[in-house]
Amino acid sequence: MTALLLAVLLSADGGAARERLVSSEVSAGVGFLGAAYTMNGARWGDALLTPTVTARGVFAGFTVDGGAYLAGPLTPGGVALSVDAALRVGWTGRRWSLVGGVNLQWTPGAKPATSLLPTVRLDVDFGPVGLAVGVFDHLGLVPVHLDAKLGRFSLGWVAPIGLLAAADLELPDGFGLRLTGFAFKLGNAETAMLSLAGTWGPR
Amino acid sequence: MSRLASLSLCLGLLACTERPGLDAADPSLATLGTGLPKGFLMGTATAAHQIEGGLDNDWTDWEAGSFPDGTPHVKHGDRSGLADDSWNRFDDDLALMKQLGATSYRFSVEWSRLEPERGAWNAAAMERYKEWVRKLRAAGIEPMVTLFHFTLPKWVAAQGGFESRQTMDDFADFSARVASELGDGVDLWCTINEPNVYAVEGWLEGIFPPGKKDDTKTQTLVLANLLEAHGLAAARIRAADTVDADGDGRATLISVAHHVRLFQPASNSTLDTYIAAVTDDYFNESTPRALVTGRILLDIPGTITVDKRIEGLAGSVDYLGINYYSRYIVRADLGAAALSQQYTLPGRPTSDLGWDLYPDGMYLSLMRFAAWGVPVYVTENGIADAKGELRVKYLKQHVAAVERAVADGADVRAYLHWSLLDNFEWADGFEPRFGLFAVDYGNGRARTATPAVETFRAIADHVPR
Repeated sequence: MTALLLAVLLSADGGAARERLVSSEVSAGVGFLGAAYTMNGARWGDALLTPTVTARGVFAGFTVDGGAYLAGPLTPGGVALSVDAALRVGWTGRRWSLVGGVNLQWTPGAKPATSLLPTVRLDVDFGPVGLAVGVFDHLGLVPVHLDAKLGRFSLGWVAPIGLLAAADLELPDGFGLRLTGFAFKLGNAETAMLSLAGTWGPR
Repeated sequence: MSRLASLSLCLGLLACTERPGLDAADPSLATLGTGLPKGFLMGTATAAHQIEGGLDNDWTDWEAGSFPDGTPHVKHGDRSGLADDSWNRFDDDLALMKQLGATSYRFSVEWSRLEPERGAWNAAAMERYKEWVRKLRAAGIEPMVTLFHFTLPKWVAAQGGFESRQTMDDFADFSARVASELGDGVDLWCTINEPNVYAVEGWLEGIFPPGKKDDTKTQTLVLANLLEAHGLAAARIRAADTVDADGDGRATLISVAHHVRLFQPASNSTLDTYIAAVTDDYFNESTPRALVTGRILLDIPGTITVDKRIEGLAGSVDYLGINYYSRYIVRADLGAAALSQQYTLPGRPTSDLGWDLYPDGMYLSLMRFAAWGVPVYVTENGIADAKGELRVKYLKQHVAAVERAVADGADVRAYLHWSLLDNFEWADGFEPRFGLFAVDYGNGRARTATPAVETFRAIADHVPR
């Protein structure tokens, strides 16, 4: 899926994309994910390494984005290895972008082995500040978030209790680096992630 | 502020749980038990309906019935019947305990036998239980008496069992009566066995009476009633039993036997983790929270929330009884009444009932529940193993887990193996074999030692006196 997106992306019109709120892009990186739940005086959890690829293509407004990651446990005896993939489609205008689709997770040995979640993301530009809201965004990991973007930085709230932050660093020739981190608590469940990805896209 | 604290805890998530890896170990028997504290109780556990025989209660009615598709309520249509005939063979069973070198025995008194009709007490039956207590003490075996182990007199079941608040009062009256009769020989009391299992099997799974299925609202109300009933009973037991039978300065040590399971999310997904947390809080955490703090908080998101403080419930336990057997993998399934599918990982060693043999779960559970600040007693731990090939290693690994928890600071004071004998295993009938001693039901219920008897004996001999 990512390869397909990349192929399509390379054929996209970069000039057209720049006139819209978001543009075509591919990224590859690695994250460090912690997932746990808590009880009185204790926490049971696992740490996982998550190599990730994502891609987004914008074609005269029509938008396709998706990605996949492998969640590999760093210690034995805990959660199983799993593969997550997401595919969303939508539309991008000059001041807004809306995509929706599904996250599919495959966990070998689990019963059932696959699970499906809906996902949606809306980005809106308000001049100097942009807002983004997402449901099961970030490849299904973040249940609900609302964040503000100022230049290359964004900071947001994850429901019901949590934070999300990201920073982009531009490099020559369309390349860049993106650092993303989030941590949230949902009931007694806690998830935290820190990831670094290399990006490339027409500017 | 607490939210900020919670959030800061999230930032510490990038460390994972330390699992001691006990399932890969085969502990040496040469020293096993030496790491347990002085005075640690090594014993066995049973329940009246599963071994006594000759009972007439709500379960014997249930055993005679079948599900709408014609399948009998109990596997193979088994009936408890004479069970192990332990009602008439206590001296034989006591001899088995001595053979084990046991220092404690947990058994239940049968409400339907002692009070078959409201207010009509069976003095002869009470006298027999008194005799058992006297004989146990004479043998140096500390009795632990369970007051409710899944079975009700028919007159109690007819009034709605623990769906009815009347039953809470009746149970408290029954507990007080037994405490006044047996209190001069009994200090260790267990009011209710596995309130969570009783509620789940009777109202979610529908395999215990009253056989209701997917009724998670009533299940939750019943669980709340059981916790409240424990509080009422505990107060009455303390008032009725003022005799310190073993001279340790305490006339009563009271708890429930809390069935705990290790719930592990199937994957890293937020939903699997969240549902595992919800399941854990409901099944594992709600009981000690209620017994220690007095707050009954039971939450099934989207279905029912019970949140109330019960006067007299806080501090109603002097120890926390833990029944630990296995680990369950939790895969979120929001369409299911339990909100998940639960299963054993493929490829794992399992008991005859398909339960994951996971001694790390014993260690993690002990460390976790010790944090509530009351001593922990392992009131049940055992394995269905008809061939007797797995029990020796299982026993060693789980006692090693107890030793490890003690070494890491947990205040654990007893290990009671389930069970002394093969017995009637509820909906699974007589097929699962949990006994350290096998029972030959086709040959006069003859008792035969399994290889684990010598293992148990060696461990018991190593406990510091």
